[in-house]
Amino acid sequence: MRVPGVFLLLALTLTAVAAVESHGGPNRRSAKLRKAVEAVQPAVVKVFGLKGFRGIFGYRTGVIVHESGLVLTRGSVTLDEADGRIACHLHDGRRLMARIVREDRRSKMVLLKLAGKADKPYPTAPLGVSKDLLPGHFVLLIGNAYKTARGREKTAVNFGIVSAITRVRLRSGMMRFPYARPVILHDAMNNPGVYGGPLVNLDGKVIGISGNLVESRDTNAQLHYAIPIDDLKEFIRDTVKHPDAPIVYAPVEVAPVDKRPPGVHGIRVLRGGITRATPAYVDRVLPGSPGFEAGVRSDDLILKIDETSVKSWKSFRRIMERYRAGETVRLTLKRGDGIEIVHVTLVEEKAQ
Amino acid sequence: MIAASLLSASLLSWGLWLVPPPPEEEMDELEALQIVLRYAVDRVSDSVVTITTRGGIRKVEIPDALKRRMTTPNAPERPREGDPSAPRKREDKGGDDEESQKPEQKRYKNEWEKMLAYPGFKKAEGPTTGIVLSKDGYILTSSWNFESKPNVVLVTLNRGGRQETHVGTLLGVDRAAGLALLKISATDLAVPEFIDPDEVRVGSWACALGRAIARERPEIKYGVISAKDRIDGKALQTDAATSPTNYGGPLIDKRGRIYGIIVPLGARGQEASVNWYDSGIGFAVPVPDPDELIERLGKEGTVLEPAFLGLQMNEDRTEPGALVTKAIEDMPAAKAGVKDGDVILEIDGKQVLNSFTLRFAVGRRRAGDEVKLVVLRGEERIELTVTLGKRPKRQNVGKIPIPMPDGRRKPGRDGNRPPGG
Repeated sequence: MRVPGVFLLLALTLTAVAAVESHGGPNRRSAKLRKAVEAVQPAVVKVFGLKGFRGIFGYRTGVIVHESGLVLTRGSVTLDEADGRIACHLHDGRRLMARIVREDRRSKMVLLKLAGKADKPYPTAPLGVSKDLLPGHFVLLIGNAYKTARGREKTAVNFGIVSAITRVRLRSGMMRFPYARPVILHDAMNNPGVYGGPLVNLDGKVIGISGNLVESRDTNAQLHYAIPIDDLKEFIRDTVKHPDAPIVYAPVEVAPVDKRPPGVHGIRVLRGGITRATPAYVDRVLPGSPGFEAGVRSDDLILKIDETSVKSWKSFRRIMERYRAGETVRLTLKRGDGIEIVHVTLVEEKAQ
Repeated sequence: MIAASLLSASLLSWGLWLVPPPPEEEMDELEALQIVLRYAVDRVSDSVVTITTRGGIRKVEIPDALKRRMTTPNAPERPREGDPSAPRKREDKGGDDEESQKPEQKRYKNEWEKMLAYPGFKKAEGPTTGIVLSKDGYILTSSWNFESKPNVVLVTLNRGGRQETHVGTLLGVDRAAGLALLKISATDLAVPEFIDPDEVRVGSWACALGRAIARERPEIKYGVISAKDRIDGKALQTDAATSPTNYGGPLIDKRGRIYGIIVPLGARGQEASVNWYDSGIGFAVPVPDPDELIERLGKEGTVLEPAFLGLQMNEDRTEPGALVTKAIEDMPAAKAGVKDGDVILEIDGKQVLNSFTLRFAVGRRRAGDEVKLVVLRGEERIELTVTLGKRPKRQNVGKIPIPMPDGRRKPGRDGNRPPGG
């Protein structure tokens, strides 16, 4: 029964390989690639924060998303502190001043408005649907080549592939970058000038806006990401609809304080030293406590709390603090050479 | 019946694909390639596993500038609060490359904590990627994640979209190639197909796969095979982006076969810090024979070191053969009887064209291996058997103190002056 399925897959692969090989190798330029550049590049602008911030000048890339001259780009201190002195170089060679009209605090994206009245509509980039994007799709990243493209020089085109579309725990410099939705990870060459540049699919549609260089908080690996365009469409639509709205689009929501009493689990983990990498080994479990009832034992290693990975004894204590009395947590434990899963229902602390 | 209909359906689809479409709607080369890559990734997807570790020493790479500040007693103090010259405290704006250059603004309890928080200098750590080597639970990965000596190794398998975690045992480590072999007690694993290194052509398409961040599907980085026989003939070079997210993962071709295992083999050895990867220079070590690898690394605690012959060569020689200018005393080759002025003609039956052939042949072997050399001494052909040794540790290099004008002593390059001393 499985054979035809495998055969189908094999047949498809072989034919696709044949298609690739018969149409020439990498030497043959893809018409789609060329058309995609032609569709988007006229709407890509080079953004410069002219005042700079502590001697660092702002290099960014933006993309015109509305014919009235709205430019979407990645926000930055160099743009915020530019005192309105932001210059945009359009693809046709025009140089226009711009100001920030709206900022999205969640994605750190901003919308600029080109100054002055244009006699004809600005060229806009066609926006695609990022939810159709899959890992393995080829993309183009069009942007300002950092400290290379000056004045009327055109933007540069970088080629890459979508590596993954996933939620990542990110860090940007010293700060956390708490973007809760999935981002597009790609391998197109990124540089500080390209931040804010459009990620374009083979159909010549913008499917994401490139962010800055970030690190994964789990692996310390540097990653290139883009915010999916679907997440930014409402931001653009709202700004077009309400030109006089306050500059902050989505203020960062402060989580309400949970007034429920903290939960007690009775699991004590071994304390570690300065390297802070001591894993969460169970030292002892208080008799009669929820942890005891659930079957947690000394020398178990706690690997996961629900879906959160527990890397150290400190992170175990920190993560458990988030849970309240009455909640049930699923602990993944290593016991000997096996993996055990237990459910611990936290209780309220008994008054002494 | 169903099978027959499926068969015909597949034939139909194949047929449709083979009929050349009209030129206007010709399938774009890149779109076709996208489909090819998707199937290639699907073919190996179940063999690509996630490896997480717990415990071990957290490594931090301290930049020299910061080290100096820490050890200099008169380092400028942090401005006090209310000091008008103090840098303004900024709101959290997400941070940029520019912002990360000003880390001193944040307050830390002590210098240790500051170092640990310093961005860009944290050494990469797990989770990382591995690849199934055999049906009965041998897993191959990059050894960089075990440099910190973790207490616990966990391997997360993906079987048709379902994840299951197993406790792994670290068996052997090949320090020459940067590989580590793990064993888990699981059966019926999906074993991938490995490509014979001789079949690899420079310029072929190559995808680097990792499973450290996205768990559902491997992450894909795309490039070509840039060169063969790199790092003493041990590794393939690729321009597909390699980073801690795919170290230990496979570099695959467009049919889903594995060129090699991605490892950090840079100029600076096996250290994987965040500073120098992502440069377009990545390495993958081919696995010509998985069974042989399991045999060599299968015993717990095995450590294979790079092989060393102990010969200095004349690299200007144009005739075939490698001319020995000096056989270093007490080193493997000299012990086996190689003398200055000998010309090495063959190694293990393979002709030695020049000193590089010899170097690559030795680079592919490990310390402790035996090689048979055919040596030309005068007019005489001599057969010698050399047991390859370890590269000796360089001694007294850079540790000679350099006298300073004011009487202090400046340590040499590798000086191990204690902090503050």
